[in-house]
Amino acid sequence: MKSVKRVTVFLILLASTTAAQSDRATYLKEFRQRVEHIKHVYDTSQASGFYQAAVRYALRKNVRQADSMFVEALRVPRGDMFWMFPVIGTYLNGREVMSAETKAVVRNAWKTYAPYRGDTENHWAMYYASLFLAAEQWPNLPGSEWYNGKSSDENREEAKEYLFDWARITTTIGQGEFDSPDYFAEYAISTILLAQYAQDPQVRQLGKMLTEYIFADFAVEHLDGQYLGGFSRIYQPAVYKPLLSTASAFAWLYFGTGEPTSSGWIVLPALSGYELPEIIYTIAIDRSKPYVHKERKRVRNVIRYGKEKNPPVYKYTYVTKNYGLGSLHGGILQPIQQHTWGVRYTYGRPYTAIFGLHPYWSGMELGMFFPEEVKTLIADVVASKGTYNNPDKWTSASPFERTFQHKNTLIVLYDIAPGTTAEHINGFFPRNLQERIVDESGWIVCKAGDTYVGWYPLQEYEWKEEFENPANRLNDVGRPVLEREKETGNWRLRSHKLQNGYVVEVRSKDEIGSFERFRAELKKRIPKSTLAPGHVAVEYTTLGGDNMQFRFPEDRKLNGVAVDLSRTKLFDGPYLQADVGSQRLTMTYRNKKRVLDFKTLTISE
Amino acid sequence: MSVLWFVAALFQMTLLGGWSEGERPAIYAAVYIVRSGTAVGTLSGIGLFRCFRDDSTWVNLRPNTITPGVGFYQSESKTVLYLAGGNGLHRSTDGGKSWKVLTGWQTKEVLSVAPDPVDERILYISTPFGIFKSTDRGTTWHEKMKGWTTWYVRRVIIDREDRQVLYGTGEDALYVSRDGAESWQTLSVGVPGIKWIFQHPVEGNVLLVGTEDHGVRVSFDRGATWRRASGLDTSAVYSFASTPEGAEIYACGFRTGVWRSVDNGASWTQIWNASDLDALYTICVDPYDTNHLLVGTNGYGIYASHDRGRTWRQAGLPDAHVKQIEVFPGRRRRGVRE
Repeated sequence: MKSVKRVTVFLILLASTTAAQSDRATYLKEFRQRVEHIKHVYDTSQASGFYQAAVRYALRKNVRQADSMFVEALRVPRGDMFWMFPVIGTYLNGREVMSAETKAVVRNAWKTYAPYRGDTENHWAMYYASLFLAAEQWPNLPGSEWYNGKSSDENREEAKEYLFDWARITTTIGQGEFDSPDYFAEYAISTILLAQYAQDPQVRQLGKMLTEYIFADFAVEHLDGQYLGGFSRIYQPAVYKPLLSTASAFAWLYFGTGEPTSSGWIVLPALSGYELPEIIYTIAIDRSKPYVHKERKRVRNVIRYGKEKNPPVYKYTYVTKNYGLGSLHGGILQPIQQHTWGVRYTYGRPYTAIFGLHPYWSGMELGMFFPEEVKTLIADVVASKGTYNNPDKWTSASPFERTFQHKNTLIVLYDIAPGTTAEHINGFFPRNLQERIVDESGWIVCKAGDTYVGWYPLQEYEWKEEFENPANRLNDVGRPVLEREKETGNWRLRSHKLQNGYVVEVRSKDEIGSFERFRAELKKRIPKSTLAPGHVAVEYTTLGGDNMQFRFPEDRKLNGVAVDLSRTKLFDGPYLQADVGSQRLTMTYRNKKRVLDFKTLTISE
Repeated sequence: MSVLWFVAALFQMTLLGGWSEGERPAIYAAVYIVRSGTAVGTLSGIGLFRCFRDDSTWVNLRPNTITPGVGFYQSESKTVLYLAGGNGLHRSTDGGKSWKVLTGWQTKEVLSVAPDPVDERILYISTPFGIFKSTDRGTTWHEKMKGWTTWYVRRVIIDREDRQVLYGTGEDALYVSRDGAESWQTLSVGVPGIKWIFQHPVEGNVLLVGTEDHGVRVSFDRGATWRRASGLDTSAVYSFASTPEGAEIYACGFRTGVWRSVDNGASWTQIWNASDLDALYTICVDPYDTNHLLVGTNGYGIYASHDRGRTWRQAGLPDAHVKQIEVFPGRRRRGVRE
């Protein structure tokens, strides 16, 4: 009898192992097909560009043509750190086959063109990752052979020091430019290049671990190709057409979700041969059970008007197979492009999001983060981020906005000072909702496939028809084009009351049944609010029966117990765990575990 | 050897008008960025630009980095250019032909530089994250913020008469150090948002500060007491400059135009309203011709006057945000190079 049991257990284990291997084999097969798709697109493109050259080099095909493409692309260097990574990436793909003349042109470029280091976290990741790799490729050169006058050794050591310091900060108090659907690419490319091409074993290992770290961070807040939750930075219209974001290109390549793309951002990763560990892929796609995932990040470096350089950011996300509702705790956490909260769902591409915000701008906000003169900063920023001082903009941080989320219920409150730019709040409702009903109870009840969204405005409001560019066009650095054209469809909820707020409930058909039942249940729950200057508060009992009390700005109570956000871990959920200061991330999926320990620079399973 | 020296001297006299490259007076302009929409526009890049006084051509000395400030060191044997930039503090010992970045990743962008006028080894820089000092020509750097309560420092300068005394402009106050930046104390200017600090070229007790919203504050006792200057009392003032003897002092800022004081900064009179220009970041008086004034604008390059500010015209770098303009070398005054 015992032996029968043993055989049975063995067979079950064998079957599950074989199934897992088969799943992995299938995943890798499909992943490699996607890699081949990218290669084919750029291999057949006749435009002169780094990626066209890189693919030809990697394939060892039309190498002389690749040489001329590479030389042409290097003819007038521009783009700073956005120039550095494609140059070194292309070089690393072609160094063994390119002509001596081409090599000389590349080498000379690193001597004569001085890339600006930039002022954001993603800039520095690209700058120092690329500089490290370049310094390794041309070792033992004096400072006269480099654009910055530093020797190969000096450049390599400085870059290595920065990269390790960046990893230390990220894994102790969180990333500053965190969870950015549009800047994910800059980090992923930088770390993948290090993981695959660094000669220094420590940096190579660091690159590998950082790649896993940022992919795990994305995977746990991923649904159907979309990044979920609150974001430090995102462009519009990607904020309401989520698959436009560059992170979605990575989701397609590495998770097999979203839509096929030939985005230039994934060319170098595709060529690198980097393969994602199975556990991260499975965390990204298994949505069989809803879960709450919490994170702590940090505010971008505060240089003025603050008492702390990097205050904490608290993030809360609820994820199901149909939707994800996520929020940052509110306030100014990143200037210009913050997305404080949103619900994104699987129905109705490309408009798969509902969210709200206070469109705020000020020299003070910018002066917190940028060293230029405060009075000229708005004009400086608007020159490159054209929506910044637009009262209709769809991305914004605001000092007058705070959130309180519990599972799939969210409360957002505003106490806006008179004279603030702007004196209203906005809500985005996409054109393709199946239902957008204003119920007599006050609830706005929406249906998007199997996802239902209820929004209870605490103050009077109006609807405005939204005009926007229906095209999914990208500019020459792969960012969504901001032009607006006269196409109607989306809807803007606008409320001019300065003491304001709303309650958002999200449920799926699996969770609550029919849309009619969702609507009927909401009608029974009317939030109680106080809306006076300096005293903005709401009490609400959720569809799940939990009592939420929220007084602006930071007084949150759940079922009568104060919520202490300061206890939030770096990662806290069923799949990812990391304590503040630990430099250690534990990934868990069913019986699998993978630990990234940045103190010892090891990965264990 | 002497023949070689003679040939070199002859070359210098012939081609450079009697000056060596480092000695030939030139206007230096720190270009921060170029106006958006023009991309790099008419410029060949950003960084430091130079125009010799006897010429009208602006030459980009590179390096390609946002450049809020410039500094100089000169001894009998050596001239050094320093560039405070986004990529760090840059040094050139060959008149801007080549540069070396002296700082590393720790210092982020550098907003101003103050080279010790006597000891080449000593350098001070201000950054959004504090003041740093090097005593080994920029090889190593140490943060010097003991006594500060904020960390953004727009400008640091060395007292003209005592090299151990420094002034730093802070978000909340003006700070002074009397021990070479080892420790700092606040000077009670009485208003926050100190943008710029200026010391009179002759009367060292006279200090001026430009502020974010409170115009000019002036001290006649080296910072012990301060008073509001009349005329420019509510504006954002970004920069001062004076004639070599300090008889006339000029100021500019955000939507201020250009102002002049002939009483050491106690009172001010507007001499140009510059109504078409938003911000005038910097002002400079040509020490070789005090009728010649220059201002740096936000996106419209350099404007110059050759009649002490009565009339102005665009004078180069048309798309540039220019954060500092200096003429170097300065005219000798009582044996002291300004």
